[in-house]
Amino acid sequence: MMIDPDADLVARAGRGDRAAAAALMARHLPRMLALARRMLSDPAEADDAVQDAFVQLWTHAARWEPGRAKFGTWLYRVTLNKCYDRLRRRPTAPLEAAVHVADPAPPPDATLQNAAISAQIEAALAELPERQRAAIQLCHYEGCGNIEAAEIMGVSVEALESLLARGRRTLRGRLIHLKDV
Amino acid sequence: MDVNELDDAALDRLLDKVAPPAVTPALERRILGDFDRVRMHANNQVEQSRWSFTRLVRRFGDAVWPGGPVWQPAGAFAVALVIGLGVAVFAPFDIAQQDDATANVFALDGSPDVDAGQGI
Repeated sequence: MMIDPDADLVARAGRGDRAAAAALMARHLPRMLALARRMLSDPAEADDAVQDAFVQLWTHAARWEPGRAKFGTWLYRVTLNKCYDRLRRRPTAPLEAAVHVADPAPPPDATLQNAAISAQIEAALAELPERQRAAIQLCHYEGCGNIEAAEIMGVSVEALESLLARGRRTLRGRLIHLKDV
Repeated sequence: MDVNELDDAALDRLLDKVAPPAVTPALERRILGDFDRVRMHANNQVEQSRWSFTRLVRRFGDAVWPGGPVWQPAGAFAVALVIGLGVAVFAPFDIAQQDDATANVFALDGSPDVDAGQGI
């Protein structure tokens, strides 16, 4: 029987225990937010997506059945699906939106260099197809194993490995100019 | 690996340069606010389900005894039941009856008012 570290908190939150809800939020919010920001590249929209995911959690907490699925996996899957929903609803970005893409040229001020590098990496990640982006976020940033990441994304482990490999290959090419950083 | 590509270790180092986003207190407040609203709504639903059960019982009572004093507090119900049975016994008045003088006494054969037809 799988021991789910969240099971007790979920059960208590389902009974209306606000402290348990706050503890669940503190435990999962940072990673959910990181996933949503990576997927949506828009802080405000990412906040909304994560909030939607938590509403789904609060609504279903009372009916959560421990042992059927790992709670964290379910929650990240909900978050990812909320992000996919928002991506589907987005109109095709007009050309003017391109002004928000980070300038790959390094800024003259050395103190801004780290922020600029970070922005370039973010931009390269944002340009990946969404499923490759999700795979890299889950496996590299969230430390998920391939099996868990595949479960969250609703794909086979082989498909996850393929997405991960293609995403990383694209990034290796796009970020080559940062080789000596 | 292509010579125009980073190696895996270099890519991992670069990816690690991206800082995770900070969680704002405002977002935490919004999320816990949702928790409070969902909980309040759930409580209301429990209340609503109690009332829907109540309505169900009431409909059943109306079907069994239309217009009967079914939906009363338990104490009153016993009294209302007695009164209700009394009405059932004394109910078959002739439709033309307006007062005692115009009573159709033959319609009252089942009535416990055994003196009703004595004058005839």
